[in-house]
Amino acid sequence: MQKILVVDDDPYILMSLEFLMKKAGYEVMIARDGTEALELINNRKPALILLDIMMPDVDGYAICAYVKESPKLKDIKIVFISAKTKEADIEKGIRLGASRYISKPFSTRDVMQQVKELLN
Amino acid sequence: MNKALVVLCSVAYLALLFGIAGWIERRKLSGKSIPGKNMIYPLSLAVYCTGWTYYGSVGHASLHGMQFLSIYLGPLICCALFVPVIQKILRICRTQRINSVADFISTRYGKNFSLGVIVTLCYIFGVIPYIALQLKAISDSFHVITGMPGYARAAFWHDDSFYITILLALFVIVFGTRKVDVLERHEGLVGAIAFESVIKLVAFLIAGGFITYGIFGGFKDLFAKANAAGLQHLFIMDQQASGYSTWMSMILVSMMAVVLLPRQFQVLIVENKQERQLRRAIWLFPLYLFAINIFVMPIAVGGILTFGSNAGADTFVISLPMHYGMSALSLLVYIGGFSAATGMIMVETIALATMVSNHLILPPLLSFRNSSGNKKPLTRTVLMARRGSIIFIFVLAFGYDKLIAPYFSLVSIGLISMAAVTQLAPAMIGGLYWKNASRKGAIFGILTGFIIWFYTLILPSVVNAGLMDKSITQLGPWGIGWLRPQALFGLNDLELLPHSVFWSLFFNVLSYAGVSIYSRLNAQEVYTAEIFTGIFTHTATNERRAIWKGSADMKDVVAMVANFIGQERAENLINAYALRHRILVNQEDADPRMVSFAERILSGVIGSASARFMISSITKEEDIGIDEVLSIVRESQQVLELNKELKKKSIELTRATDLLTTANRQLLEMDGMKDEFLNTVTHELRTPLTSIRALSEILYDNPEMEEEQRVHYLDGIIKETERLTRLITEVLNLERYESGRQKLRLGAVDIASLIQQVIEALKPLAKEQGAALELSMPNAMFIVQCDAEMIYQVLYNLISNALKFVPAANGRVHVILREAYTELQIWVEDNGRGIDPEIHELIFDKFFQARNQTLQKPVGSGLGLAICKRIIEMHEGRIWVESEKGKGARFAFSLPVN
Amino acid sequence: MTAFRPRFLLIAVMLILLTNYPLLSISNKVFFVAGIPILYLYLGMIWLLGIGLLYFTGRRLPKEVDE
Repeated sequence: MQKILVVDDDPYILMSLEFLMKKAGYEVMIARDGTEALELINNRKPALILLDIMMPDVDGYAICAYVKESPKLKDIKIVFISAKTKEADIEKGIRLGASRYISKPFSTRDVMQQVKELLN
Repeated sequence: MNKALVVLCSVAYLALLFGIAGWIERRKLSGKSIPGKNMIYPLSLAVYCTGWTYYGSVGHASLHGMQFLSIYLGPLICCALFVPVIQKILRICRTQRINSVADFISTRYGKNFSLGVIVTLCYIFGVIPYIALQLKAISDSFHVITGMPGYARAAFWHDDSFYITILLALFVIVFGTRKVDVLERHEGLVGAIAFESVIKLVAFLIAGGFITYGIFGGFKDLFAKANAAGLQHLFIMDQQASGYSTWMSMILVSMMAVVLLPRQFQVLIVENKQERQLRRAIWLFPLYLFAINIFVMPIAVGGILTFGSNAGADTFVISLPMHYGMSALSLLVYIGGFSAATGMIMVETIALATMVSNHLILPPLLSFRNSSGNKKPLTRTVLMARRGSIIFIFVLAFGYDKLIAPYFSLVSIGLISMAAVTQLAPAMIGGLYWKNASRKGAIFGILTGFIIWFYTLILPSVVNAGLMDKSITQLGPWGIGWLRPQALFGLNDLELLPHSVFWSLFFNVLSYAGVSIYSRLNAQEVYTAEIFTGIFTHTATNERRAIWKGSADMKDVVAMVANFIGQERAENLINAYALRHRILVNQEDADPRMVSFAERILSGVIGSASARFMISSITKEEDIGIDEVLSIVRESQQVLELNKELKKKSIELTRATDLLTTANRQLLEMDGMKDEFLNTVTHELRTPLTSIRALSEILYDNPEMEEEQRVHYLDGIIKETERLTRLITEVLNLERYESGRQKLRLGAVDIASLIQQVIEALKPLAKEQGAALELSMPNAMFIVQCDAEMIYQVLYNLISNALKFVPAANGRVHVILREAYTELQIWVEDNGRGIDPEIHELIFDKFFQARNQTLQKPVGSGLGLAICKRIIEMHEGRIWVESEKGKGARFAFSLPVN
Repeated sequence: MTAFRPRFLLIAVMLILLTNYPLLSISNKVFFVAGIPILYLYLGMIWLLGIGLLYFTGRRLPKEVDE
């Protein structure tokens, strides 16, 4: 079973995404901030990360860059989910190596669809 | 001492001077520089110290104590005025090519011919005696050193000073009238003068040193012995009013003399090459004077002590060394004194000769030549006139020395001369600063001053010498007592000198000012007045504007100038000028500016009055009216004023532009901040919306969800909706406060109970956070005029914030109510992670949120603090925070109570 | 150079006041300081002071460019 990491500091969003990914049949790990996320990335190596950007300590961009620069981790697929919707933000995310960038508010069906595409 | 030896030394010294002067001129010609040339100018000013300094000072000191020093203090004071005043004179003389005082005054007052004559005559009367005085000093010192008794009154060809006079005349003619210099500079002569200044200082210092330390045991010993011998009166000045007035008048006339004596004007101004030479002169010259005067009193005292009386005190400086058998030293001193006297004679004569030649001899000569149609070159004529003047002056001086001088003391002659030249000071100073001073005023002033000088100073001296009947001093002219020359108008408290100085200057200034005020200026006067008084502002424009209307043939102009200074030099100068001002030289009609320039060149050679005369003889001039002159001058002044205005305006513009740029930047920043703010707000709005949507969609897509989970999700939707609502409300609230639409609804509020209400409302949240919520307040009732709802909101915000940022374990929020004089303070303290002092001010900013956003969640709690701040401000209270990182935070606000 | 005018005027005025009545009368007495008459010393000091002031003020003058 493929592992998915969900990172977001809002509890409800975290809850929703966890539910969705579980329902889609993946093993789900959750992290409420960047530090937790990094720990889980290093120890459990998920196949895909649903990544929020605005977080209290380490932000999503930094995590993405970290992952993509690490030879062991760079295969992990990153999907940004963020309320930052400016062109520049999206560009930056893609440039850092993200596979997808989804804006908030998102459609749950859409998220599921994209994840399925990426992991199959 | 052997007479032949002394004569030999004198001649040898003069030869040395010749040699130095010649050497300097040769080096100048070959373009090489002269060693020590920076010192030449300041040292040349020391020509002020003449035989009078050497002999007269000691004599004066032996009689009148410290009074002699005033003659040297005056120059010190004058040096302080060099930069303000002399620089202006320098600039004027250079641009207008003025080379004597007579020329200065004549030019200033409309290039007036008669003023030149008057001034020159004044100088002859005033200064010839001074020159004669030097001859007397030389012969006196000569007699002392050779031991010849008395004053030989043999026929003049037996008189040694006759031969010395001839020798000196030769020297002056050779080095003073080599060529007709447009600027009248005599570099060789000046160099020789600087050299002789050094000689006379060194000699005097050695002599003084010998007498003070060799013969006596130093200053203290001398003074102690003098004290014992009852000579204390020499260490002070006369303490009565008359003594002080003499002192002050001596200072005054010496101040004037340092500039107005012909030799001083010559070395100070005419021989000046660069204005910055003044810098060194202003302290070096007083220093020189200081040094040369240190030993005067010791020598005087030493002499009296040695010889028992002050007879022959004038020559103590020679007789003392001789008395002790130091013949070499006395010879050195003699040479020093000789040097001082000859230096003075040389420069004074040249300066005087320039004036005599330019203002007395040449004008009639030239007009005679003109009318007789003689067109031969005039260079030789000018030189001949100069040489003739020099000889004439020497003859006069010699004659005076032989016939009249024996009756006067050395010192008094010197002072009389200085008092004479002081009469020119008002016209000179007024000419520099007072535009309305007129020619007539100057003439009246100078003549009046001079006449009174003569009457109050010369006449009594002549009477005292026994050459005139005593009745005029005892009873007054025609028996009129209050017209007595030494007590005019009954003023009999003053000694002769101050009395004369006072009255002469009094009437001088009075008539100068009075006549000037009541007389009208002609066009020329207006023009020259403008140039002189405004030399620093007008210098540039003067070159461009010619106050001259008329026509002249270029050929004639060139020929005229060449007539005086030679064809080659004339062409060089004219071409250079034409090049600088872009005038065509080949055209027939002379450009007016060129004509003015030519006139200026000629002024340098023959004086401006004569130059004016010569130029007008070759040109057809039109009368230029005063109005025209004034308008031209005013125009150039206006241009300058406009320039200044322009500069000011451009500075203002730059400043305004800078301000605008800053303001623009600030606006852009604000704009940027607003953008950021909007971004943040939308971001904040999106988050709850995201939750709501996600939760809703999940609920919709998963009907089979468990009841408990479904309830949880629905609860979440509701909570997030509330959150959204709150956020929107906050934004709207803030907007309302910002735009000022929110109105205060004041009422009498029980603060204590309000706080308790808020605490009650927040107890659930506190429990959720696991934090303790406490309240402390005094036991009194506090009723405050405020808007209850708003203050409730503030309290709610602050306390809920504190609860949110409190640590997970042992979180504690403490609310305190404090009374402090005129206000009520409410504190909300938490033990959370604290706030960096750097942002204490900023967190109340509504835009702060935005700026600190970058990529991290906001510190603080949305717009709450900004709203709180607005509310408190509307209540005229204060809100602030005290905190450090890691040590919790203490928010507080105050409400005024009356 | 005209900016320095007031400084020099001040020096001149100061010297005038110091070397004349009434200030002069203070030291115009038969009194000896270390064996030297006081007037001698006073005037000497004023003199050197004046020289010093003129030297230092003169140093600050800008290097004027004259024509």
